[in-house]
Amino acid sequence: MGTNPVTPKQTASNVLNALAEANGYVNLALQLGTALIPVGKALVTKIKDATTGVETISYQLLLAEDQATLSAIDASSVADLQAINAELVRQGAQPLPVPGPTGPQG
Amino acid sequence: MKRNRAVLAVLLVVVSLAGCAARVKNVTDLPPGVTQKQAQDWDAAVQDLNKIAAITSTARTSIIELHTAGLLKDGPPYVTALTVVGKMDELQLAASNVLKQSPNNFTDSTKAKVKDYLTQISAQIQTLNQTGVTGIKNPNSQQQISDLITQITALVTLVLSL
Repeated sequence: MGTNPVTPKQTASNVLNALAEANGYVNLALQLGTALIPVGKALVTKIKDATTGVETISYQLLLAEDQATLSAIDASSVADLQAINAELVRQGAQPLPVPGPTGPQG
Repeated sequence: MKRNRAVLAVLLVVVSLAGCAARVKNVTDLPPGVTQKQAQDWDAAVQDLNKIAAITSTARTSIIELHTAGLLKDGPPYVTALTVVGKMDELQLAASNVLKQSPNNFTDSTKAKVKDYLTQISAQIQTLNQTGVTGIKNPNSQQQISDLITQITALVTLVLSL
């Protein structure tokens, strides 16, 4: 009796939150008796299978996420170079060139 | 002493985060001409480069912190360590620019360019290992920088195997 079972309300809430965060399309329907009544669509493009850990993601979302990651890499690398150059100048050494990051291509 | 412990703690966290390879994703709605493997390899390269950049940044911070704390003195070893990390940053920017060409261009020739930059990063790591680390007199700090070098080397190997 010491267990704390997950209530249907909590489960539905978790699912809805996951769908809201996933930003893709999924068909929603209500079952009334034996009939399945479509009630609309919600946006879903990223789903993670909790049992296998495999993430399913649309190509467009993958592009968006990874381009953002590449921009973060650029920002981090430029910040490193600026800090390093400040130290090199203090040491009387030649600073390194700081190449500018480019935008998404292709 | 507190500062050194903080630096070592940050290093340990980053090292533990860097241990995992990029998780393979199932990519849907691929445009014509783009294969699942191309998209997955591109994603893996981006994720691994991101981890390399995070460790490089930590190495940069740690080296400067060690110098500030007096554990890495002024002189050639410090300048070498800074220069090597800076060159790694330049190579990361170059690899990032190639990867921005997106998965639909992640052909063998594009992949070869990324691998070339990663090979050059690997060469810089060897220089850091042979020259820069020797300037760190504190054995614990030296070991932590060596661990970072090991982690970056492992990530570079992952990208080279794509």
